[in-house]
Amino acid sequence: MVQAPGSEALPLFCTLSGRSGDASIPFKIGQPKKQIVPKTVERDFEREYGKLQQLEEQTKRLQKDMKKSTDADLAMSKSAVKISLDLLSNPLCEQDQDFLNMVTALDTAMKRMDAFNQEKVNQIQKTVIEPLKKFGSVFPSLNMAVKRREQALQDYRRLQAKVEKYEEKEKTGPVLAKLHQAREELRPVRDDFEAKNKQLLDEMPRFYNSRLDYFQPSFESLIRAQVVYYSEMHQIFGDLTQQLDQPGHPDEQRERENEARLSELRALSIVADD
Amino acid sequence: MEILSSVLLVVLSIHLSLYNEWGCTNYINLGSFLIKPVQRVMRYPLLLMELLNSTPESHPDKVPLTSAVLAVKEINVNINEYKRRKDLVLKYRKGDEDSLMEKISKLNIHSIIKKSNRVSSHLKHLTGFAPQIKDEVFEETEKNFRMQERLIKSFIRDLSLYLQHIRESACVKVVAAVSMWDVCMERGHRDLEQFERVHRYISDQLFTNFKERTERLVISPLNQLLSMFTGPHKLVQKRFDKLLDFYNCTERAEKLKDKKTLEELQSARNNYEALNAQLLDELPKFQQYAQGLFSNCVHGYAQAHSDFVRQALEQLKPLLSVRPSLPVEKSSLKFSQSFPGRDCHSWDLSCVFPSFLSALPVRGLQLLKVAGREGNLIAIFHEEHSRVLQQLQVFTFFPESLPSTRRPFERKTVDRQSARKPFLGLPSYMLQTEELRASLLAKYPPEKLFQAERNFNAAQDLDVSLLEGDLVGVIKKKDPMGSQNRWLIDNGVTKGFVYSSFLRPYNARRSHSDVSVGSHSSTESELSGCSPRFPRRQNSGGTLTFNPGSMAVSFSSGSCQKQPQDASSLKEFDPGTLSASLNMCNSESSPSMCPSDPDSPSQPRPWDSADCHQPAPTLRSSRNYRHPEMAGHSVPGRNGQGRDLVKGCARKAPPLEDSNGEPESSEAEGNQVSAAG
Repeated sequence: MVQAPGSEALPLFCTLSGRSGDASIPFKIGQPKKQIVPKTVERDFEREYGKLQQLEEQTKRLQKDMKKSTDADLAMSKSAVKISLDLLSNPLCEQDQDFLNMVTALDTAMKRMDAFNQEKVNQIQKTVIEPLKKFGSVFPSLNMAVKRREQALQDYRRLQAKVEKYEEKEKTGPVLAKLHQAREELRPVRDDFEAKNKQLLDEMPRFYNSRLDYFQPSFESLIRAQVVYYSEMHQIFGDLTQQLDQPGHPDEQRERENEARLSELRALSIVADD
Repeated sequence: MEILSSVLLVVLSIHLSLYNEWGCTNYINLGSFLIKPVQRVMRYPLLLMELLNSTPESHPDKVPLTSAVLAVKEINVNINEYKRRKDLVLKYRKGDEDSLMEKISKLNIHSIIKKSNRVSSHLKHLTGFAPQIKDEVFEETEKNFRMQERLIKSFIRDLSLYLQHIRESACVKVVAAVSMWDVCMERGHRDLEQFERVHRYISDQLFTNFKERTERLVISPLNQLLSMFTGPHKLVQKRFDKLLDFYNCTERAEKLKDKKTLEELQSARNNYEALNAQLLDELPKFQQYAQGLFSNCVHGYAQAHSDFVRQALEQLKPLLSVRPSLPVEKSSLKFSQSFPGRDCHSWDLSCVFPSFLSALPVRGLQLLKVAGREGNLIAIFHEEHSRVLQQLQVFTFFPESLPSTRRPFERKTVDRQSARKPFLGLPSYMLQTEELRASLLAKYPPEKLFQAERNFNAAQDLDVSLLEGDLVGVIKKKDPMGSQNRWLIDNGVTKGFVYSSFLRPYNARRSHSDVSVGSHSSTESELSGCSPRFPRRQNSGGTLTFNPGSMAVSFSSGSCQKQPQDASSLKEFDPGTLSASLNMCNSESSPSMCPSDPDSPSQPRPWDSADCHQPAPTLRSSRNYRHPEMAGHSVPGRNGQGRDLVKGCARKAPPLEDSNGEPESSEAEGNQVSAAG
């Protein structure tokens, strides 16, 4: 919200208007308050600025979420590698060659997965998170620009008020001189403000609309990185199942085999049969 | 009804009386049938004995008959023994399931004596007073048994953890997709919506299926298996107890030698040996079955995981489909990414999903445009990104100094330089494509993967040129002449030699935290009007952030900390990342950079000097802050760096053997700083 200066003890509804002579009397039906900045313009400005502020928050949130995503991915692949690592470190592996082969194959697959995951995270880091940060860096300077416009507005108002004050005084020589001087002061300030206002009003919506263009390459890269990663994973696991025996057995068959083994085990007398 | 039952009873009684007459009284109940085989087995020895006794000595059958009698007797003995063992095992395998009260109530003099004897015996063994009984075979078996249990436990635990992580990751992706949608809102929502939907599907459906399948095929059977370990455990324990008893008895028997003690000894011996034998017999079987089950489970897991990945890929692939509305990209409708050594994944989605594509309405603004480009993902991205960045720059409030998200100095140098002069030295060198990198990653184990820190131009015959950031696999760490500084590497295209100083171990894991962005180069180039740079896959992150508002230069993200000498000023720096990056100062660092570091004249740390060396700001300012805008800010920036190193790059860059610390870093810095400014 653009706040008008409230330094003078003006009634609230007078804040946006220029100062008129009897502004201190509320609800007086008089001439419409002079407003240097039309209400509609103010509203537009607030609205656009509001949108951008919201965008800023959303950008930040997205950045955080992407970071969380990459962190989660990394944790995931780390734990995957741990699976096979723990298996390999068990001395039981060395005894049976087949078993060792199986565990080694699993290990290779996990490590490759880890490598590709790293790549993916890298890519996402570079193509999504970085640009997001860059995008976010715009906002501080945007805020600055808005502040400067606000300052210009205040200056403008102040000088405008001064001019009006002089205009209402009786036209004596020194007053006229001061009036003239005040008007001279006012002009550049007003121009400055107008320029700033116009510029911001013009650019803010455009900036807001441009965010989509900006994010499009990132979005695309994100998808692509994921697709590449999953393709690699597919390949890796395809290789793995090929290397291990029994690829493509249906689940029921596997379950049956498991049950068979378990029954064999239970049949042993040393196993407690609770 | 009653008539029938009464008739039945009458008939039964008649039968019984008849049988009684005939002398076959025990044919009626089940027990009599069951006992028949037992009786028969016991009758064989008697029968054969009789036969033996009535055979004259000279009969040829006498000898075989004798052995037959022995054999049959042995059968009985075996049966008895087996039964005894089994009974023993059954008795002890349940173990202590009594509560404390019950245990106390069971205490009596006898059991107390027994237990105390065992304890003392155990102590004697431990301290070595009694002769050690080492049954090697048993020890071995038991060890395997324990190892197996550990194996299965760890597998289950790790697998469960892994599944949790996958779920977490999938969920977070959905959240991120939603956030992305929020940001873009109104426009382009179709693609984003689809993206979100796909991820939701993966997270909810596919993952749940995968998890459930894994539960069924792997975790549940293995858990059941684990529960079976308790029985044998207890038996092993019991066997040990019996062993101790046996020793006790042996010792006492040596002293007392009366009948009772000897009997006790005998029974103790029998017990122990029975248990021992049974365990030795069955434990290996147990292991074998368990191993088989485990292998089965691993196979099942691999299958389930493979299916999960395949399904996820199927979901994600269509997202890359090219919309037909963009005429420019029509030519790239068919694209294929081929990975060496594999089938060509030909994603000609326009053919595969013609209806799908044509059904899509032409949209004014397509979110996914050129999906069909081959090659380096990052390269493609940068091209696009630089374009859109330029769009953004028209806005007046766009900061002139974008936070440079890279390592401060070296990259910029390179970019700057390359911006100014195209890679003349490497005209024919292609950017390392995705596929090449992937194949290298696949071919070489992590310890053999290295990355080029800076461009290396082939000088000698068998050298290979490298671009900064290229991935290579090291085949040999020496050259034919025996020099350790020149390594035989494979860059995916050719094999050749490269000086080891140009290489840095590649650890993609660390790079994630690095904030290095190839895009910075594009930013740089844009700002300086240069063409987009080759993407750097360097990992390192130094982020030199420039706060436009306050016009302060702050260095955020660890960079150049590596060298202990600079510890004073670089304490806050995350080790390595930046240094690694810094060492990238390739071509342009002025030679003075090295000497500018008074602390380590011998240490090649151009990077240190480049950005972190606060003690020599003057040196820097003269050289580095070329850009007038930055002139005022460079020093504070420099000083700021020490303080601001914050996030990131936890990479420990190994000290670079690259002692030709390229004095290019100064140039790099200059560029970097300027870019920021």
